Amino acid sequence: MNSVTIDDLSTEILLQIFKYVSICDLCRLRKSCKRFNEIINFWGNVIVKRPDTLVTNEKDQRILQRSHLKHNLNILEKIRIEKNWINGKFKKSSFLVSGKKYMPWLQMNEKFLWVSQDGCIHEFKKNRFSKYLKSNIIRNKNNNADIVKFKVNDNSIVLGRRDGSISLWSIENKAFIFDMKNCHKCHVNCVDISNDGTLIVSGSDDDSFSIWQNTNGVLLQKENQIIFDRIWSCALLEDKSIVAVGTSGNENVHSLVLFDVQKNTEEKLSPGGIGAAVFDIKWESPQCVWSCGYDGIVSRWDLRLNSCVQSFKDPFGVPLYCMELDFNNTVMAGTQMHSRVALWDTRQQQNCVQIYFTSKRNSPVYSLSFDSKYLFTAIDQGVNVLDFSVYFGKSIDYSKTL
Amino acid sequence: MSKIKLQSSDGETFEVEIEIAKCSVTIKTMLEDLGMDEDEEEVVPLPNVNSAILRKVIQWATYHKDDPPPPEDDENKEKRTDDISSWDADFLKVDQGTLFELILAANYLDIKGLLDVTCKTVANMIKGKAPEEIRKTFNIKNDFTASEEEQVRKENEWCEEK
Repeated sequence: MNSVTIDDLSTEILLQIFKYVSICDLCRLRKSCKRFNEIINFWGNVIVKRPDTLVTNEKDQRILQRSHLKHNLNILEKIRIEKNWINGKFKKSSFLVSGKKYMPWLQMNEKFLWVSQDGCIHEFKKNRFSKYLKSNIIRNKNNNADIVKFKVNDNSIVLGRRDGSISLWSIENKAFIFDMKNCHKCHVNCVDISNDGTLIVSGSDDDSFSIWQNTNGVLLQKENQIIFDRIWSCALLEDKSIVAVGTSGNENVHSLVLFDVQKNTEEKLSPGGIGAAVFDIKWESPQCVWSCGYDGIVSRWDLRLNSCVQSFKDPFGVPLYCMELDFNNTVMAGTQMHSRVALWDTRQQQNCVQIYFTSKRNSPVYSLSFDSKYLFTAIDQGVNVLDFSVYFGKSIDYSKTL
Repeated sequence: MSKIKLQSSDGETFEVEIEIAKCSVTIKTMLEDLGMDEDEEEVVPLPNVNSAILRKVIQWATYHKDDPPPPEDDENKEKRTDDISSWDADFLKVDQGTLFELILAANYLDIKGLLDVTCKTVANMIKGKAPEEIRKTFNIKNDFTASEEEQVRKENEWCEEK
């Protein structure tokens, strides 16, 4: 009788065995033969049980919505790429490089990446990263005022311009729905739009923020609140019930104001002291909002307690211009200097996990976004991409010095 | 103590105490579902297990008959392989073919304790080995083409780095 070999064991039984070996052993098993390689790649999530990986966990829908083709990595790839994020191993490249200096903003979804420069937005198709092929330029011939900020929802892009105008672009029709002048007296510093497109909020250098009703392309002001301070940032909660507004934090003015859209009431939170301007705001959930700003601190606010429950300080105390979350355990912030980004693990107290110098320029990071594999930063003279899915390369690890 | 007869694939019959036979969830369910009367001289056929392996399985089950039921798997706990009792370790000092047959039998008969300890034994044969040593241990053919091999080598290099 022929002796039974490991080939006679079913996938189910091999999985029982592989549950007992280490990550390293699994990698070596993948190298030993095709069948093991396929089984481990396909069933990795069943074999390997460990806490969520940093950056690469792909748990929240919102990060999958901005991940390249919703990539869904297997667990060993998640662990491998997490290691690269932690150790600072990446391949750097840049595009949209320009001799002129701008204050660009960027945002992405699973298919496109948008970058504002000057009075236009460059739209890039994501499957062409290797060539950075520009697929479209969004520009209005009749209004070339600088775009300060923009926000993309499911089917449109709302733009806030330096001349006080607000524009709405339809992604599907590739045309402007409206371009409305004099929404504010001067610079529109921030804009946000609800997913259904019916509600738009904006904040300005004119010390006010406004809530707008968009009915089939007709913009109607619902509310104009004078805050007596420059408005830097605003973010609308998904259900449209609350707008979070960030100010310069001048004397007697709170730097984070939560405005109840239905009841017209305010709730004031105070990150930092006087002058702690809030430059970026992100909603994690209806109970939890994040802010970052001039004090160099990323703060997590719990609305049930009306207080800051977690804060992460930049290791160099540099103002933070922008931030992004994976809505699970990862937070990154773009700093004012050296194109630098800082990464924190929200499960750890305070300690910065790693920092990345995304270019050699001493520029602020005006805007950033990331998914499991890539970090994008918009700096004064272009966009930088750090690819953390690389197999080889030197680690640039600053963690010991932080 | 009432007994039951188990018949191996090659026709040999083993008389086993019912309580011992019931450590196999498959046999236990069979007896319950069929409502077999303990007085009857019925034989349970086990067409997937030969006599040599059935003898080993009965030996294992007899030794472990008073064990508490194995704990449910805790998904989040690190799985250990260094907790094999010395009796089990001795019991499993068999050739590879027999070890795999025991796994197949434990799986078919649904004996969790035996399946766990045999899988751990195989895992211990894998741990710490280079791919070439794994292939040699289990007599596996390297079926990658040169370019595929280069690709998997590249994909798995990271775990060897400090």
